[in-house]
This record gives sequence, C-alpha cells and structure tokens, in this order.
Amino acid sequence: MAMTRQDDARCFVLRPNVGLYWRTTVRVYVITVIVTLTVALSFTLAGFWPILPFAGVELVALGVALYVTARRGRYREVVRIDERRIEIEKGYRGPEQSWAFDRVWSEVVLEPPAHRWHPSRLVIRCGAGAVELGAFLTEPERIRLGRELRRCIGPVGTQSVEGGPISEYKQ
Amino acid sequence: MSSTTHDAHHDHHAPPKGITRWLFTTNHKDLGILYMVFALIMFFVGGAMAMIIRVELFQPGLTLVDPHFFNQMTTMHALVMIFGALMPAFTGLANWLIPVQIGAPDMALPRINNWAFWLLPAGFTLLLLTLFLPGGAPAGGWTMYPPLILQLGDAFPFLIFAVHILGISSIMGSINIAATILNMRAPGMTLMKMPLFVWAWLITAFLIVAVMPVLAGAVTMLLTDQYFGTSFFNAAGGGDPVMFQHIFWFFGHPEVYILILPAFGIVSAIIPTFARKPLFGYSSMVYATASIAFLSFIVWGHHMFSVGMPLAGQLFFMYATMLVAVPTGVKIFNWMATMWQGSMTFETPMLFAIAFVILFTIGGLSGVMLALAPVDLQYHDTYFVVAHFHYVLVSGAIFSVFAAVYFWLPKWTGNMYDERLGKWHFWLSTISVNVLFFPQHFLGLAGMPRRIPDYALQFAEFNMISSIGGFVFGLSQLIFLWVIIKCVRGGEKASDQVWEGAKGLEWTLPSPAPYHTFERPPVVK
Repeated sequence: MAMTRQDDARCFVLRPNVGLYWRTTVRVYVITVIVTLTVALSFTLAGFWPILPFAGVELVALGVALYVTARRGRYREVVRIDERRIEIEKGYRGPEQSWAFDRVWSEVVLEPPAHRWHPSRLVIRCGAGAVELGAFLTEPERIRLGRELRRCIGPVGTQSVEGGPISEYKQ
Repeated sequence: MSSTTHDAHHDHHAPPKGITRWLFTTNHKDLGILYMVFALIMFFVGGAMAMIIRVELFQPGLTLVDPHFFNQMTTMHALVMIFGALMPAFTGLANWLIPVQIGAPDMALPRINNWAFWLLPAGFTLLLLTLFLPGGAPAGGWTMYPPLILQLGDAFPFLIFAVHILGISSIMGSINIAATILNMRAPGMTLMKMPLFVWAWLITAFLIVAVMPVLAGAVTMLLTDQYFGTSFFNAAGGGDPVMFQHIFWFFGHPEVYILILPAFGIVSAIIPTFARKPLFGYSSMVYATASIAFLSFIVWGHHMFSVGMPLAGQLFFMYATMLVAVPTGVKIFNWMATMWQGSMTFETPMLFAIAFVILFTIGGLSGVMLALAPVDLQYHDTYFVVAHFHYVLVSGAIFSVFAAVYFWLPKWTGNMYDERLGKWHFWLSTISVNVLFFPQHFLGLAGMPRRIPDYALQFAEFNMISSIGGFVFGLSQLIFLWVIIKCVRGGEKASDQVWEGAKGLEWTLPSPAPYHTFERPPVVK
C-alpha cells in the first residue's frame, strides 16, 4: 500500500499495493501453460481433441484473470488542494472521474465502520456531494490520510470534522 | 460544491451489511468460512445418503428403497462427498490459512475467489435437483462410465453441466491459491520456510489445473456422444468405451491425491505442535509430496486392470503404483519420528492426527494390495475397494479436516472449543469408523460386489455390523456440529498462541484473527 504526499503542491496521490509483479505473473502463467498443454496435446494426439479447447479456455481465463489483477495496480486517486478549491481525480490510465469542491465548504469525514470487521470510510464532503477516498488503504493509512487532509482543508474553513478528531477513532 | 464534472458516486463503497457481506465478500477469511460451512452442509447431505445406503444394507433383501434409488444414492453420495464436502473443506482451509501462514493480506485474486465459491452452491443445486427429475439422479456411479451413464434420463445434461461448474470453481480456486503462494509471501518467507500445509496446497493447485480440463473434456465427449452423434466412446461408431476409463482415471487418480495432499499438510502442522518438536525431515516431506503428485499422473491404470491390458501395461502400472508407497512411507516415518521422544499431549486435534496416521496407513496398505495386478482381479469392484478408499478418505482426509477444525477453531472464533465433547467426538468417530469399514475388507475378500442393494445371506453379519458402525459414526458427527456451534457462540477465551507448541505466523495474530491481517507484511527470519 502506498500513499505519497507532495507538500509543495498539496497533492496526494493514492495507489493500491499489488502483490503480483508482472514478471512473476508471466512466469507462473508460462509454467501453467506448459504443464496443461502437455497433457491436453497428448490426449489430442490420441484423438480426444475436446480436452484441448477446455485447456485453452482455462488458460485464457487464467491469463485474463491475471491481467485484470495486474491492471488493478494502475488505479490512482489524486487529490489537489489549493487555497480555494479541492480537485479529486480517479482513474486507471488517466483521470476518468473528477470532482471539484469549494474548499471553504468542504469537510473531511472519517465514518466509523458499522461492524468492527469492516473498514472505515474516508469521505470529502461538500454540500450534497461526497467522494470516498482510499477505500483500498489499510486502516492506519486511512486514518493518517484523513489527518493529513484535515490539516490541509480544516484550518481554512470553519467547519468541524464530524465524529471528533480523527485520531480518536477506535478500530 | 462549486462544480462536478461527474456525478459523485456517493456511497457505493459503503461497508457491506447483512447478507450482502457474504454475497459480495472478497475477504479471504469470509470466503474460507463460507467454503467450510458449505462443506459441512454437504457433509451432512452426503452423510444422509450414506445412512440410506447403510439402512438398506442392514439386512439382506430389498428393505427400504428400490434398487434404482439405491444406485442414485451411491452415485450422489460419492459426488457430494468428493466435490461438495472434501474439496470445499480443503479449499476453505486454504482460503483462511494460506494468507495468514505466508504473511499476505489476502488472496491474490479476491473477486475470483468470491466467484469460485458461489459457483459451488450453483453447481450443487443443479446436481441435487436431478433427484426430482424424471428418471432420477445419476445412478451409474461417480465415475460416469459409458455406456451405462448414457442410459441416464433427463438428469444427464444436468450432471454434465454440474461437473463443468464444479470444475470451473476448482480451477479458479486453485489458480488463486497458486498465485497467492508464489507472489504474496512476506519478505523472508522463502519456499523452503513455508508451512507444509502451504506446500501441499501449492502442489495440489497445480494438480487441479493440470487435470480439470481432462475431466471437462471427458464429460463433454459423453455429452456429444449422447446428443450430437459423435462416437468417442461408442463402439458401434468406431469409438472405444474403455478409453473413457483411461481418460477419467487420468483425472481421477490425481483427484485422489488432491483430496489427500492437503491432509498431509494439516497433520504435518498438528503433530509437531503437540509433540513440541520441530517436524522431522521437513525438506524430505516437501520432496515426498511433490513425488506423490508426480506419480499420481502415471498410475491411473491400476483402477482398470480388469478391463484387460497388455502385460507390459499391467507391470508398469503395478510397479508405478507400488512406488507411491515410498514417498508415503517417508511421510509416515517422519510423523512417527516427530512424535518420538516428544513431549506429547493428546488434545483433540492431536488425537485425530494420530488416528489419521494409523488409519491412513491401513488404507495405504490395502492400496498396496490393490496395486498388485494378479490379485486386483479378485478384489476389483468388491467391498474391499470400498473399505480401502473409505479408510483413505474418511479416516484419512475427513479425520484431517476434523483435526484442522479443532486445531484452528480457537484462532477463528477467539474461543476454546469444548475439549470434553471434542474427545467424545474423537473416540466415537474412531471406534465407529473402524466398525463401519473394517468388516468391509472381509466382505470384499469373500466376494461381495460393491454398489448392490441386496446380497447373499453369507454377508449378512458383517453388513449388519458395518451398518451399526455407520449409524454411530453418523450420529457422532452431530457432536462435531454442536462443538462448532458452541465454540462460535462463546467459551473460554483463547490466547493468541492458543497451543503451547504452536509455531507459525498465524499464531502471532490475535484470537480471533482480525478481519484484515498482515496489511504490513511481517518479516520472517
């Protein structure tokens, strides 16, 4: 899990941690392909070809699954804060969703979980609009991000953070 | 808010509540629990079918059900127990344990994990509904040999599609497990430091990926033979029904090891804990597991000596099968050496683990007898085979699941289970399982065929004894159910380590383990 903050620009870039490195993924995939195709081709040579398409479908499904998992690592959430505005962008290759809030009327809310097993939710709210941030972060990281965001947003506005100080949220 | 360029997606990340938590969960612990609850339900469904079988066989004559329904029960009992109880139980254990044993935050492919699980209830709904179709449920044996299976009524396509769905589920589960183990280990958790349960599952996962397309292809060829005019297994059209047996058992024998390798891993975790000694010969255990997996691909012919095969083929399969005894013997020796001069205590998990070693060895020895081609012609399709594989799969694989549940239940629930009830469960199960299956050796040696609802009078006594054992074994599983319910509801609080001799990352976590664990990878020294 990674979370970076560029202090000068007041810009937070959030990205999920992905345990599957692409090179390792490819290696696992190739080994699986070799083993499975060896078996399937042997039966095909004996005349029982319907095994081969199933092996092929299995391998394609595996490949797609691994690719989709690897793609997850490209997801980014970017929060830019200047004196007047808060801009939030979310997307994989570039900004696919974006929001802009008035900083004075915005607040950072860390909603406690409904159940102790569930994660909390970090939300930037402005009027009727709200955007959740860092749903993929760990609990300590989310609390730290909330504290950092409040430090950036809070002193300018006059609103209080709902639910008391973020650091007091008990997991 | 001054402006939004996209309508805010307000609350779609809200934490799941109620049923949605279980439907949509991607958490490995949630899914592990779902798998294990599903397996427990299927264990009782399959067990109920076994009770019908044993009631029918309690006395000679057709006493309770008609022969066709009896055949449905033998077939469905096997399918339910193999694909519904044992495989999901081990997959559930893998889901819950592997990430915490290797220091990973979750499985590598959490959404596929969810999908893999929910395919199981779908597949089994399809399969169990065949009981209510015209012509009834599959009744030609779980091996689905043609041409007999092609005589099945409306249930035939349901059977084929159910097998496909269960196969997809297994493949997804195993892909996930392999990717998790290979890519998500904590720093320092090298392959040769992994717990043996993890090793066993890594090898099992590759076995599943390698053989499941073979099963899928085989049942699809049955389907096309039935409905699309092909003749893969139709002798009248130039096909070969015996080839189905070859293809099926190329899948089926590795499947047997898919059901037993994780059990080896479980026992290898439990015995060192209660012997308070490190596992004897760790690396030899790893190599033995890999050797057994390799051998599983070249021994399928021993299931079909009686179909007639060249002498060279018989010799090859006979010797290859007997070779399996070597790595298996290494394992049994290592478990005994681990216990030797250990500071042993006999809590319920250890009792089940010791029973596993003894009773699995009995099943293994009868397996060596069956590997001998000349005598297999006598034993083939008799109750001796039934006794053999039930010793391996009930007092072997299922006992290892019992042991695992007792061993890790305090970690899952945070509460200690009722040790007194656990011991009752153990002793009743162990005595009754032997009363149930040991006489079946004698029945088989005396010539009683398997899969028959009636029998000659000379088999009456042993069948009655066997049925009594079956009833006691079935009832004693209600104790197991109650122990789990009682433990989930409360009890003496478990410590983090739970067992004095427990070693491994999972025992460093609080009891119960938090919903999210190892979000920051631990460093393994």
